[in-house]
Amino acid sequence: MNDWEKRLSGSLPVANGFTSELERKVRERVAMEKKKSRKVWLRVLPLAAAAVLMVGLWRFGESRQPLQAEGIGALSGDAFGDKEFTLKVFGGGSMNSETLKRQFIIRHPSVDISMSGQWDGKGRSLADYRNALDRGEDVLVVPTAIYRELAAEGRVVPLEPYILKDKLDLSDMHAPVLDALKAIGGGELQGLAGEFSSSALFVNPELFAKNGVELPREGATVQEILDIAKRFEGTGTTGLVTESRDSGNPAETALRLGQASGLQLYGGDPMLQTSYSALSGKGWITLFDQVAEGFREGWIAPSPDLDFSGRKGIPMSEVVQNDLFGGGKAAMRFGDTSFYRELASTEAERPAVAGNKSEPVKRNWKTVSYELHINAVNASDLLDMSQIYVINAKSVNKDAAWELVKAAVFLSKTDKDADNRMDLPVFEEAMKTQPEERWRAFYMESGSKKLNENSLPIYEGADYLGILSTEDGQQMKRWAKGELSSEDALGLIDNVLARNLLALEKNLFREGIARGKD
Amino acid sequence: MARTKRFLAVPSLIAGLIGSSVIAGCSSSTAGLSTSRSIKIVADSKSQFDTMYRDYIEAAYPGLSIELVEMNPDYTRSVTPEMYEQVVKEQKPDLLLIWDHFYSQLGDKQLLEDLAPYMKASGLRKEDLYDGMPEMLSAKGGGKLLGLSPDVTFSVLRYNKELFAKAGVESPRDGMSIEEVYELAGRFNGMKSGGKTVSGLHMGIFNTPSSLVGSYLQSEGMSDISADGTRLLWNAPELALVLDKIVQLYRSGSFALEEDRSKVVNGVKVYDKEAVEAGEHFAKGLAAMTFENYGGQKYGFETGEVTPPVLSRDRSRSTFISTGQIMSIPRTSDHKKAAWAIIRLMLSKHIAKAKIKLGYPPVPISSYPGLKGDSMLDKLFELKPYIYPQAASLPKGWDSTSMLDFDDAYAELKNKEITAAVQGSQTASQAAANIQKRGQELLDNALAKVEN
Repeated sequence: MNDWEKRLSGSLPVANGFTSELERKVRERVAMEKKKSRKVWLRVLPLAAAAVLMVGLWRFGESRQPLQAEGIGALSGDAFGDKEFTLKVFGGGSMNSETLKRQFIIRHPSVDISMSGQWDGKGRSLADYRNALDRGEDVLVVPTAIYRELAAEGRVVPLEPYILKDKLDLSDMHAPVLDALKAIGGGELQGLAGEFSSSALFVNPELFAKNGVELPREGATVQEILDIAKRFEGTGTTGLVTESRDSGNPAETALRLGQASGLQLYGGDPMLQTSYSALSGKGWITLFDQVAEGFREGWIAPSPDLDFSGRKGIPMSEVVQNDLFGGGKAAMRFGDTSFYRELASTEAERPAVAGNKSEPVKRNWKTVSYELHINAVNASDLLDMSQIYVINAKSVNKDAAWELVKAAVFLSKTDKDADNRMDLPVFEEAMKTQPEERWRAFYMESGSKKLNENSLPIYEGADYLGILSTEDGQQMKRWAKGELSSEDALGLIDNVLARNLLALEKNLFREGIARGKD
Repeated sequence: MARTKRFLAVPSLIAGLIGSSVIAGCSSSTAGLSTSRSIKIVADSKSQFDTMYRDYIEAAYPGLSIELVEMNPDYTRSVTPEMYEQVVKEQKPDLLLIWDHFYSQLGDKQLLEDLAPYMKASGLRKEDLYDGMPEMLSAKGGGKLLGLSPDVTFSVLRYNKELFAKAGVESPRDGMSIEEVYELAGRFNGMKSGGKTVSGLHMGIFNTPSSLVGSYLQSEGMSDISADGTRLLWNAPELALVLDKIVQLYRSGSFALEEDRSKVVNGVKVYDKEAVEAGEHFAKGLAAMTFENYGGQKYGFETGEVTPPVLSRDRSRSTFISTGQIMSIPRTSDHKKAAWAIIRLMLSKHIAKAKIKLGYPPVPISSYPGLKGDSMLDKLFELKPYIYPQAASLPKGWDSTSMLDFDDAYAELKNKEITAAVQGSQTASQAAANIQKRGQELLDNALAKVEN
C-alpha cells in the first residue's frame, strides 16, 4: 500500500460494515434454525487433492463399461437409460441454456429437460427462486447474492460428496471461484459455476510506445494508473477513457476508482438494517478533485454517445469501434470480462451471412491486472459469478441434476457457445487458443484471488453504482467542468445513496432477507 | 429395454472391427475410437458440421480430434464435384459429408468405399435401417451402397380439420395420388372463411402455376426435361394432359392464381419475410390442405395429417421422401474404420432418441417409429421412395450457375403461359406448345453459355 492509499484509508470514518464476523454469526444462526446437518469431514475435504481419474471430459462416475451394443463409444452406459423423467431447470441465461440442454440430452436421451425462469430482461427476485425450490425444480441457476441466501437457508445440496463420489478433479478450475463459492456457501461448496466475471485494465501498447510512456505494472494501484493517465495530457491521446459514455455520469468513474482504492460507499449493514452512507471525508474529496482535473485537462474522457439515428440496433463492431479505447484513441480503459468479449468477438473471423462478410478488425491491446482494495471494494468488480448451478435439496432426481451441473461447468472447458458468453471460463485452458496477454490479467493473483468474505456482494445491493449514476447527471457534468466543487458533488451523491440504502433495507426486509436487529 | 436385445449378439463383431489394427492404440476398455486419434472430415461449413454432427461425435468419442475441411465456409462459393475430387485426392480425408449429386459423381469415379462389407462386419443389417434410405443411395451410387444418410425427410399432407368439417368434405386418406389430392382440393371451390376465399390446397411460397405443375409432375415421377438435360418434353401427350388438368382445376376455382413473390438479391432468388408471410395461407386458415415436412409446427386450429401423395402407377412408392446429407468414406482414407464408427454412431438408437428430444428430422433406422411412438411414422416408414431412373448423375452442364438463370426464366415462362390459358386467352394445348417452343430456346441458349 502506498502513501496515497494509506492517506485515503486513514480518512475512512468507519471500518467496512459488512464484517465477516457479523456475517458468520448471522449465517450460523440461520443454519441452526434450519437444523442443517453438516458433516465435519466435508468441510475439510481438500478439493485439489481429490484423486484424479478422469477418462474423458464427459465420462464421469460410472466406471462400469457395458458392452458396446451399438458402437456409440462413451455414450454407452447411460445411467438414466432405463428411466424416463423430466429434469427441471430454473433461471440462468437463455442463450447457453439451449447448448446445455443439447449436451445433456445427447448423453442422456431418455431424460427430458424443461427450462423456465430464464433471463428475459428483468431480474428474478429471491422469492421467485424460493418458489422454484418449493415447486421441486431440480437445478437452479442463480447469481452470487441469491446463492448466498439459498445456501444459508440450507435449501440446496452440498456438492462435495458428489465430487468425491465421482473422483472429480477440479484442480484446474480458477481457484478464486471455488474459494468464493465455498466462502459464500458458508464454508461449503453448495454450487458450481462455469464462468466468472472480474475486471482488468485494458491498455493499448502502441499508444504507450508512441508517446514514450511506460506501461503500468501488473497489479498497479489506482493512483499509479491515474498518474500514468496524466502523462497523456496534451498528446492527442486520451489517457483513460471512462466506461460510461458522454451522456453518462462522470462521477461514476470517480466512485469506482475510489472503491477500488479502498474508499467506502457506505458503512453499517443493510442486512441488519444499520447502513449509512459513507461518502464524505478527505479521501473521497481528494480523489474527486483528481478525477475532475483529469476531465478538465482531457486525460480522462468519456467515449462519444452511440448514434442510433433512427436505427433500432447498432452492430457490436460499431459499438466497440466507437469506444475511444476500441477505436484506438485512448491508452487505457477499465473493463470487465464482457468488454474483453466485445473486443475479442469483433476481431474474430466470421462466416459471411448471405454473402455479406464483415471484415474482422485488428486492434492493439492487452490487459494488465490492477490492485483492487479488498476491504471495501465493490465486490462484483473483483469477482462475480452470475450463473451458479445449485441442486434443490428437495429434488427427486439429484443424480441427474448433478450430471447437469457437471455438464454446465465442463461446457466452459470447450469453445462451444463461446460467442454467447459474457464472462470467462473457470477453466483457463479453454482460453489457450486466444492470446494470453489479453486474458491473463483476469486470472491473476492481484485480481480475483484476493477475494475474501468481506467483499462479497450483498443481495441486490451490489449495484449501487448503477443506481447512483442515473441521478444528478447534469450536476455531475458541472463538477467535471470545475463548476461544482468535489465536496458539493459528493454531498449530492451522498443524499441519493442514503435514500437508496433506506430503500434497499426495506426491500431486504420485505423479501425476508434482513435478519432483524437482535 | 427389450429393443436392445438383438444387438447383444453382435458386440464382439463390432469390437473386432473397431479394435482392429487400423486403429492402433485403442484401449480395450473403450471399444470405440482411440481418443488420441484424429480424423479428417469434409463438410460444407463448420457451422453446418457443428449443428449436424460435432456434438454427437465429441460426446461418443471424447478426445478424438476432428480436422475439418470446409468446402463452402460462408456459402458464397459455387462448389463443383471437381472441387470435391481434388480435396479427396490431395487431402486424403476420412469421411465425406456430401449432398447427393456430388455423391453420385464421386461414386461414378470409383472414389468411395462400398459400405456393404462395413455393415456386415459391424452387424448392422439392412432391416435395421429404413430400407428406403439405402435403396435411394444404392441407386444414386450406381447400384452400390457408397454412403449412408443420418436423416430422412418425409413430406406429409397436412389438413385443416375445421375447414373440412365446415365444407362437409371427407378427410384426405393415406396413399392418395397427386391427382386425387388436387381433385379433393377442388371440392373447396367457392368456400369462404371470414369473407376471404379458401383454397383447397396451398403450397406456401411455392404456389405459382409453374410450382403446381412441377409438383404434379414430380409426384408422378415425371419430368418436363429429358434425362440428358437437353430437351423439353411438352410435346409428349402425357405432359399436355397434366397441363390441361391443372388449367381445369384453376378454372374451376380449386387453385387461385398467384404471382411469384420472390425477389432477386445479388443474383440470388430469395423469399423475404413478407413473401413468406403472404404465402402462409394454410397457417392463416385460408387453405384446407398443404404439404409440409413431417414433424411440422402447431397451428391455431385442429389439423390432421396423412401420408404424402404416392405414384398412381405404384402406390407403394412416393417421391415425397428424401435423404439428408450423405456420409461416405473415400477409398483413399487411412482411417476408414474410424470413419465407419462415426457413420454407425449417427445411425444408432441412442442418437436417434436424442434427436427426437432435440427436434431433428427422423433418423432412418427401423426402430425410429417405435422410439418416437407416433403411428404416423409407422405409415411413413412403410412407404418406399420413388427411384428416379436417371438418378445416377446430373445431366451435363446442369451444375453450372448459369442454369439457375434458365430455371428462373423457364418458371416465368410457364407462369405466363398457364395464366393466359386459365384466363381463357389461349387453350391448354396452345400453352403447352408455347412453353415447348420458347422454353427450348431458353434451354438451348443456357446450355450454349455453359459450353462457352
